[in-house]
Amino acid sequence: MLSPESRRLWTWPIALGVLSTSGLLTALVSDAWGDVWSWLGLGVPVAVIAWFAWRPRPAANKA
Amino acid sequence: MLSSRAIRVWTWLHKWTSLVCTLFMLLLCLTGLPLIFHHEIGHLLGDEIEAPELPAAMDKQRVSLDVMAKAANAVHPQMVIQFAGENEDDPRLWWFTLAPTPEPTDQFKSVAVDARTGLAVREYRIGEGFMDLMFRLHVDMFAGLPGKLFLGLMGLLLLVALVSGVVLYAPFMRKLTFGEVRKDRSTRVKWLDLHNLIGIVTLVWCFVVGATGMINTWAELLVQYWQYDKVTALLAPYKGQPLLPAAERGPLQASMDTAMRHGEQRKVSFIAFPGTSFSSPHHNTFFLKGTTPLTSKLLQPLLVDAKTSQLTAAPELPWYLTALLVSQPLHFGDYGGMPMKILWALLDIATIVVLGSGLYLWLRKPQGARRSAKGTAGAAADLDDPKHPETAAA
Repeated sequence: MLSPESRRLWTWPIALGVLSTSGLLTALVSDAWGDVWSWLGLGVPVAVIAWFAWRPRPAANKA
Repeated sequence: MLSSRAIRVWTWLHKWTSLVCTLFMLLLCLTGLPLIFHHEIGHLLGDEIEAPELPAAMDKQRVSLDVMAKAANAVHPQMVIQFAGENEDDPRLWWFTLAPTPEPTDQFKSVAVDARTGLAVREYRIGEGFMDLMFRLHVDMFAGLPGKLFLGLMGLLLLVALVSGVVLYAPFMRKLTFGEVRKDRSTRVKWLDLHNLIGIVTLVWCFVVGATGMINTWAELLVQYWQYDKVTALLAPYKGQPLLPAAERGPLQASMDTAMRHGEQRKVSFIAFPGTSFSSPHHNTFFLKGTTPLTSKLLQPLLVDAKTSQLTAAPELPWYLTALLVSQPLHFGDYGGMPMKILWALLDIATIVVLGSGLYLWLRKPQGARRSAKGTAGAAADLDDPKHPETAAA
């Protein structure tokens, strides 16, 4: 099993990777729910980037 | 955990595979961005052809394939029809491509014909305009098959860069929480963190688009291999026969009726006429597609004798062409509606940021090394020295 250190490092990357993969695949097989899921599967990673890139500085809050 | 030697090797791999492919990847990302919306842009520029306004009752009405072909050929009487097919978005229109000979060429014309009336509507613009420039730069940089294969090789380097980047993610992130961007440190540290964040989050998308793009560069070769490997045997009875003269060909509609009888629940994707690259000198080859989201990407070839309109063969598509066809939407991002296209564009822009920041991190490195040589405490943390990844992440 993953060490606690690896788990801390890889949990989010793996979760987002699995989510992206599922989104890329569901839209291939279904034009209804599959498309909607793909918007979520690819939209969440985009939102995650935007959040961490533009969120207020945590360091400044602590100060 | 990686040894410091392993980190050095992976760093070397990441640096050089990225550096070699970065400029080409930037070109592909920038030209690919408008191509995601080629359909919408085509509408805006008036490049897309709209079906003429006719009473809705006529929508299901169809003239024969022969009437449509005659109308298309009348626009360019000196040319022969190479391929034809139903417009993907509007079944009331069919497109016909014409060229001086059946041989593959860049000098072709494409005519839209109204399937309800059999009248030529307009010519598609081929080889001109902004979108065509974007397309050629994206596909082969105006260098034909060698250009395509070269870009495919750059795609392979990108995949190696992605894998090595993932391996290096761990040592760089050891002391950071997920998504942490140290904005209170130097600009270089901030961009290092952003590079790692955006790189790891877009990883799957980037890998899929990169890999499917690379596979697409092999399309011509895969089709040729299939023809050589399988189709030649199917056409053995016709071996050595010259191109069937137009006067000896039976009605096209009869050929199409034969094809449609064998392909239940299917639609015409395109037809390759005798002597063209996807057919034989003696056959009209029909490529039929399914009607569900997945099967609409897959093609069933049917070789119909152009003289007798009898079916010669219905070969199964081999796995590698199936893989090619399924990989195409995964590259284009055109299979999940407008929201998917927008996300595709945002992920494309994110990739540009990863490429640009990677380049910046490499360019700024000598300066960081110089500063650390002076022994300032702050500068040491600016380094992403592969031998001391801990300091880089400190």
